[in-house]
Amino acid sequence: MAAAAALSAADTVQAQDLRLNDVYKSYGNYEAVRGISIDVPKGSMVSLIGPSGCGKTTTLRMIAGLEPLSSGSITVGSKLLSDATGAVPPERRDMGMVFQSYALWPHMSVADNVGYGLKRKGLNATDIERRVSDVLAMVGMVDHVGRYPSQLSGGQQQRVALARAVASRPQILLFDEPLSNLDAVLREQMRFEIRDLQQKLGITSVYVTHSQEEALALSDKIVVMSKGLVVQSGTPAEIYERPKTAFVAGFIGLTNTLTLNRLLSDDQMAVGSFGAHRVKASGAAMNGETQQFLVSVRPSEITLSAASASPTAGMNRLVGTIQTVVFTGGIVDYFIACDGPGQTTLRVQTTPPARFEPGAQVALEFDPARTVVLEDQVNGKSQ
Amino acid sequence: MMSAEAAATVDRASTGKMQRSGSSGWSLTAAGLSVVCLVIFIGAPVAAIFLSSVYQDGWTLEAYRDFLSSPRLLTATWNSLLVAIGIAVLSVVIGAPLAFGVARTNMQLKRIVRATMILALISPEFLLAMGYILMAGPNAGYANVALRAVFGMQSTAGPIDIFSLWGLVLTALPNGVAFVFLALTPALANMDPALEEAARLKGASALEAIRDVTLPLMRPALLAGALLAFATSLAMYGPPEMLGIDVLTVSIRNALLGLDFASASVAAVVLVLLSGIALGGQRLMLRNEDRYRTLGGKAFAPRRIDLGWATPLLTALAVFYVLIAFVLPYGTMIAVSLMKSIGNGFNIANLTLDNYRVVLSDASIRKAALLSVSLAASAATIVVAIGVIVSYVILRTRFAGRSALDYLSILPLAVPGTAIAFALIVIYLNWPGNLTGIYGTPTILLVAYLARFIPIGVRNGQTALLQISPEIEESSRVFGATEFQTLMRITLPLIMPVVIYTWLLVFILAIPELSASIILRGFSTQTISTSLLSVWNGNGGLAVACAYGVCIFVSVSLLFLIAALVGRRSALMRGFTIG
Amino acid sequence: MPKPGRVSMKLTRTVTALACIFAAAPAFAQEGPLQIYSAYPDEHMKALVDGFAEQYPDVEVQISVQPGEQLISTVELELRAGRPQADVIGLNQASIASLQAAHSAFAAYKPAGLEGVRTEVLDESGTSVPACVNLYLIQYNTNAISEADAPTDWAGLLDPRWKDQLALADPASSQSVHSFLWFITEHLADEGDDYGWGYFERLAENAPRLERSHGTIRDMTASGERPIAVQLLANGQTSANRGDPTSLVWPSEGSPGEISSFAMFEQSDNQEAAQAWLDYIVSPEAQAIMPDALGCAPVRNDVDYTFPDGTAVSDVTIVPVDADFIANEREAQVEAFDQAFGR
Ligand SMILES: Nc1ncnc2c1ncn2[C@@H]1O[C@H](COP(=O)(O)OP(=O)(O)O)[C@@H](O)[C@H]1O
Ligand SMILES: [Mg+2]
Repeated sequence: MAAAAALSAADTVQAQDLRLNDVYKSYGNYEAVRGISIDVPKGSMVSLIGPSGCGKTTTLRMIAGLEPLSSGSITVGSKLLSDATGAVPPERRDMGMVFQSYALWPHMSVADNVGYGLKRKGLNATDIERRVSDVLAMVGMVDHVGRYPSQLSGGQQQRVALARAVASRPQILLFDEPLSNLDAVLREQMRFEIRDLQQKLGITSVYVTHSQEEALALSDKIVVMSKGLVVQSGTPAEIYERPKTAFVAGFIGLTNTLTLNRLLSDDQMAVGSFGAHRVKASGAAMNGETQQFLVSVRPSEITLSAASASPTAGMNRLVGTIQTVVFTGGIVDYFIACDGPGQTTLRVQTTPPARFEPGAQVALEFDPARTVVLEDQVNGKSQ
Repeated sequence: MMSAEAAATVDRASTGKMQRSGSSGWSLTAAGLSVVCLVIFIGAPVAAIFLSSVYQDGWTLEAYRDFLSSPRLLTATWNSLLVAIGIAVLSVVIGAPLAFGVARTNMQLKRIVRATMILALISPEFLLAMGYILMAGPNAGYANVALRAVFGMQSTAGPIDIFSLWGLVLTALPNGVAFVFLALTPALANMDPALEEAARLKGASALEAIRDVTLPLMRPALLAGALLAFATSLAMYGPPEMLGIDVLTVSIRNALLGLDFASASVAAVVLVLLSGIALGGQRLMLRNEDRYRTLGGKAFAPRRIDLGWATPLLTALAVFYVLIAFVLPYGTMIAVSLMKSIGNGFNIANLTLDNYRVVLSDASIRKAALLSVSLAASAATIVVAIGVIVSYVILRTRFAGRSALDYLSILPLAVPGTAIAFALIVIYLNWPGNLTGIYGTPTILLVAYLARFIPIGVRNGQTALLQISPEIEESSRVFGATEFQTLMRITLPLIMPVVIYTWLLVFILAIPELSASIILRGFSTQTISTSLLSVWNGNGGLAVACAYGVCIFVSVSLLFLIAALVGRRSALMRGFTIG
Repeated sequence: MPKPGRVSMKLTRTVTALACIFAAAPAFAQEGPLQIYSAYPDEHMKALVDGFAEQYPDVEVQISVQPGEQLISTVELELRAGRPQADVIGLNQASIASLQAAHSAFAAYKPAGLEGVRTEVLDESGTSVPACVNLYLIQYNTNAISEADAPTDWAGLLDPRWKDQLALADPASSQSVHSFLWFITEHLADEGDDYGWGYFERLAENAPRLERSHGTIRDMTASGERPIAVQLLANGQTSANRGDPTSLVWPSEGSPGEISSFAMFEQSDNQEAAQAWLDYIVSPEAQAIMPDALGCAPVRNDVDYTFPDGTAVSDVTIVPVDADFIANEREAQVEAFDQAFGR
């Protein structure tokens, strides 16, 4: 929203680092979060991403003080917020939160919803009114001050929830899948608005999502979670380009995984055989006993050429038969049965037009630098 | 990742602001208050009943031996059981077809049947007994005189003898039928008609489909309704007392009149155990309900079934029910309330409004009415407050043992009013209860009413809180409100319609409360119901009692009308909250 | 669209305010008015209260009515709890005597007008003050039973004609009916097989309804549900006032007379008013209205009286009951009665 620009520099907040240190959370015998450590540098936006049930909401609620910790601690700057013995209550944490259900108060008007936190902070009525219309202008909802939540559409409720979260200029903003209830167009639009607002205000933020696009587009840093653990964290580019496991590779973006028989390897790279083909991949050193290892190649990193064409130097090369071709507007998707061990099908994405028909024999070429060795054990056990 | 050094620099001084998990000042207060209230108002009386049955100047089982060797008490137990079983069975026989008829068929009089069911539930049990005694007394009951004339019977008595076990069953039947009806109608309305249709496609007739598909599906709701009717019949005091039939509640009263605390306690224990078993069973039925649930969240257009020749039979049953539950008893009462002398029949010369004048001008009745209204209002207020607080502790805090609060709060459902009153006598006549000095004052009645009605408050409180997503409250915390501020500004306003509805419901039920009030009756504790009973028992007479009863019935019905309107409003609000 | 929030807040406030008002209401003061526990119905007490008010306009009187037997246990429980909730009690002489024996709850008082009262009705201990004599008689419904068919004596109730037609107070619940029990089983014990416990064994065969109170019996007789009953004079009087189709029989064996009385509690904090009430009860003014008030025969010789059906007092054999026997033997009597009735 253009109105975000209206915020003066004075409106930005003195941000501090937020840290989760080896945090555990169990419900009875069930361990929802099993020892995670996350660093949210001041003023940055960190996304927690992972499949449903992996503990994202639980983590966010612990940060907000809504859930006690089983062990570990949470700090802001040098201040301890929570540990196993107790917690600063939510109302004294100076945070803002956008709930997945928005959790707007149905018996209060938009103005009352947004002004609630300001009132709790003890501002006088005129200041509250001014701040409320400022933030509502920011999210484009000034015309709806007097409405009740039930009279608003999903997108409008979402904006009110966002306005409410930033109105009292909290130190930390928490988002729990705020866009998951919106349609695709609105979701994309709101995504940029949220990022815009967060950067303008410089508020330290944690953004929970299970959508890779949101995570990639919004965050300074992505934390990928699975089954209560952090599996990898880093900048969007790091996560996308150097996924550590098949899970991360598959969760952030599309990928192909190939099982290779080890031929040789060092600190920087590894070479394996795929049937008659040699495949070179970049990645960390592996254990000397490993006979087989996994590599990941993104579908968009593979180029197709006729099987008869001559190989490009320095590229990995496989051959296979096109099985299916799917045209989805901006992209052509090929599914290719590769010659080699087992029934390996690789997916390849190119820009249109489609150059091959099903049944065609093709060569697949991809850059060893873009072929990433994964840490997973081949027998299926992930690390 | 946080390094060891970073951890060391954490400002330990600020931990002073930290609180133990889930134990803010307010939730501690709420939990403490809940425990204290439930222990005083529920735990203590229930314990007193059991203790006083095994402790009389020392631990002994003598009272149980005496009970087992007293033919009168054993007869009373037997009568209680027979009557309760009779009512439960007949309630199903009448209530189930009516529920099915109203929910699923094209029978007539649906609205009238529904309204009558609700009237039967809210109207005090002893009013129906009055109507029935006047209507079906074997010698001079109007129904008997009419039946003898119509069928040319030679006898001077009968054919109906209301002063019998069957008479007692008949008196309490409208209430029992209503329990079964109200348990069944929602279940029937929510049933997927496709299940029946599947059976009919396989060649079953409409009635066979009902027998093979509908009935088994409805079994839990049916049993739950029947068990509730059973437990309520066990607890009933007014009708058996007025008909002169020995049942356990009457035995408790008789034992207390003779200051025989030991017999009273054993009779109370037996009653509590019997109703406890029934209500335990009922809860079990409802817990397994999911297994039978046929509603998957979507709304079925309840399809109407044409039962053919059986439809007029259902309509006839409806007419029969409306007659026995409402028209006949209350018609009789209204007729008698207009008579100068009850012996001179319904004719112009014998007509008068004097009885109403007496009711409306009598100082004792006015005093009793004032007491009942203020007690009911106080009880409703406190019950609602305790209900909200206890529900809050059960659903919104993490204290260990909060499920014990849940069980404790519904315990009184199994303790008849007579037994509670007996327990209060034991507690407040002996040390240390006697130090409070509340025996004989209206406060002891208030305590009795609280014990009786707290379950309603806690149940409704929980239902209301369950409808508010915790996030609505949590967001308030995140935006700077304390737990208590959140309760006052977010939770309470949202559940206010339910709170008001519950208040009115308790108010309506407390105003004619009889079974505890009669036992605690004293100079300053004469309530509407006990004064009505004493008017009926000669302190004014039957005609005045009928006028009094009609006044009570009209007031209670009007109040319920208001409550129903509030209830409808609260249903609107619920949709609102979710939307 | 309404604003549910505002409405709710307003409702919250209103309900809270109402709640406070109501919650305060039951806290009643215990001092002030003269409080009388009475086994005599409100309509009977009313004439006395009105008459008392003329003489003592400053004293407010409050009445709480319960059937006698229930009143006794109410008072017993209150005495156990520490203090009775009233200043004066109105019960029959025998019941007051037994309460006094168990609890010494009453203060002896000798009202000014006691000299004018017939000595045979006086309480020797001076605890209870006699108000009037309540007699047992037979009441029947004239629509159901003609005068010619009506029994003329107590033994007449044993006629099988009256099967399922009779009503009688239950000695387990009624205090007064013990006068009748005493009369049949003690006073008439030597008068032949018709009397003594044999009387009740045979009466049981007629299956009389046993009721808690004589008031209920009066209405059942009036309605015809139980057209004939062993009744107290006071209720016959009420029926007469109301125009019920009933008539009275003065049984030839005579009528046991129980003495309706009042007594004041030792612990009363309103002693003066209580004494005033007792003074008033034996005054000629109160005695003159006694038939209309408590509905029974005056205890002063200097007051004229005829029974409601016109019978002269001199035509009725009144047998004063043995209050000591009734007070001391009541449990044994109830047991014997239960045996006779096979319960
Ligand atoms: N209050 C609770 N009690 C028990 N289990 C819970 C509770 N809250 C969450 N869980 C469980 O913890 C796990 C993580 O939940 P959550 O953090 O909500 O996952 P998500 O990553 O989808 O947000 C889930 O398996 C969930 O069932
Ligand atoms: Mg979640």
